[in-house]
Amino acid sequence: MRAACRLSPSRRLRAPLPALALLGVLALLLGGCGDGEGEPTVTIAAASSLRHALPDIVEGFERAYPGVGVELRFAGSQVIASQIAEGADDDLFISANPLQAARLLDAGLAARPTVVTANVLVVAVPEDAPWRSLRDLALADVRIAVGAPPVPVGALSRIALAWVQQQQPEIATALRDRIATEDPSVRIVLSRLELGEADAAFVYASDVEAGDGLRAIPLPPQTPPNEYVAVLIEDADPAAEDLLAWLLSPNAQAIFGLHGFLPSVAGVRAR
Amino acid sequence: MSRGISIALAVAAALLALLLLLPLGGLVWRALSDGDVAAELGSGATWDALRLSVVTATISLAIAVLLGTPLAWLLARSRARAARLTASLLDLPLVLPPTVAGIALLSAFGRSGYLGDTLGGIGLSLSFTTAAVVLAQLFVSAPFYVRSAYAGFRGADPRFEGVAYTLGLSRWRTFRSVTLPLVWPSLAGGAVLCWARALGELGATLLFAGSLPGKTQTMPLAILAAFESEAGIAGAVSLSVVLLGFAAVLLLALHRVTATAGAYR
Repeated sequence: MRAACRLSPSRRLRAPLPALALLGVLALLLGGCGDGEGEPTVTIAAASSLRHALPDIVEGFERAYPGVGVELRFAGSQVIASQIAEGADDDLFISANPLQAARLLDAGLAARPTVVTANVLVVAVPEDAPWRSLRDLALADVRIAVGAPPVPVGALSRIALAWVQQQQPEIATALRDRIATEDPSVRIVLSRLELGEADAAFVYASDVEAGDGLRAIPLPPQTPPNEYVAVLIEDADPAAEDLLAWLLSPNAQAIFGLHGFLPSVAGVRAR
Repeated sequence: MSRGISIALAVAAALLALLLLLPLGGLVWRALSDGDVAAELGSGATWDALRLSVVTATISLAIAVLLGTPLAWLLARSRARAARLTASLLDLPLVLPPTVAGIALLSAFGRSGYLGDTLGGIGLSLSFTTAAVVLAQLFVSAPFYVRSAYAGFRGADPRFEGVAYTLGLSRWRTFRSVTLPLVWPSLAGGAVLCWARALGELGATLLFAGSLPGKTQTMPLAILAAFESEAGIAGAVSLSVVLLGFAAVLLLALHRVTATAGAYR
């Protein structure tokens, strides 16, 4: 009480100054980092799901085309398409959602749409889980995570469930009842399994391949695969064309396969 | 004050005000040119999300005020070092990126969190429920209220309370007629911040509560889903303007209420 009376306004104000100075020094120190990178020539903006496969593929490209540097960035297809529409300076865009590539094509911002790979929808469960089939899941008291209907993975999940419905209606109904969340991205859907909050998740085969300790339960084979469409962005560096061709090379396609993706040709034909 | 200083102050004030308001104007401009606000207002899904948002944010605020006021008062009146330390620690949720806040909540209250077995033992499973939405909002927004109330209580000279006690007023009466009028602006300001933050909460809610229309999909989550959909930016912007409009009306009303209630002493 007494201390409060003695504090003059000026003393109250002086106290935070050292703290502010410390903050300032910290900001300067942190701001000083991160300069002086090399000059990359081709920038690929790719769907997040290519995070594991694409670096391996680009490594092969850089060996075959020495002197061409490649910079990779990953985000949701919708986010990248919006960024490019707003002027982001990428050379090549690989979209997990053909609609997002089409958006840029329609706007005249991109050209040369090419299906480079495809991904099959599965139901991922923990490796040690007792469920082997959709019937097992339908009979157990499980929580299922899916994508929201407007998101590609969510739209595809509904197509898959419609096929289940045709073949085994009671299983489809049970699975639908067990949906606990409709997430805005496949990454979030997958995180439900990683965090142990869901028991099963409708994700892509490549996610199961990349994930730790996951197993895939197949969905009806009539479910179409999700195609990855690459487009060249307006004013792309000429080397981007070589890179686009490289994505279709046997070398690149084999790496896609290793990461759980389908070859591009099979992807196209499956439609 | 000299004329030069007045002009400098006005310029500084105008700069920041513009910096805060221009992007909001941009959002409205974009919604009017690209989006379809009327269509969103006509959609039942929008109202479901809006209702869930307003109800959960208001419950969060009620809990924050009910529990946060005694907490802030005790911390402010205590002379223990631990009280100051606690007051600082309670600000920490503000630092966490919301997604991390969601993981933190899951790590405590989730099914595989360290309290998960205990909660599961009494049949409580919080994740993916509306209760989880409230808890996520409370975690990120209550610190705004507690921080503001704490500053208010510390600024209110405890000698007034002391005088009231010596005059024979009960503790409750003292709080109501002496302390509360002194700290009212801090409490009201903190409540507005808390409610607004809860209304805009996205990351922690998404991770802890999931996103199921009608149950856990609040307005920010619906906006995120719209952004990822074919409707893209146009859809997200239209929904955002609906949220902004509602928040503006409610905030203006709240300001009126707190301004008139502040005059009751």
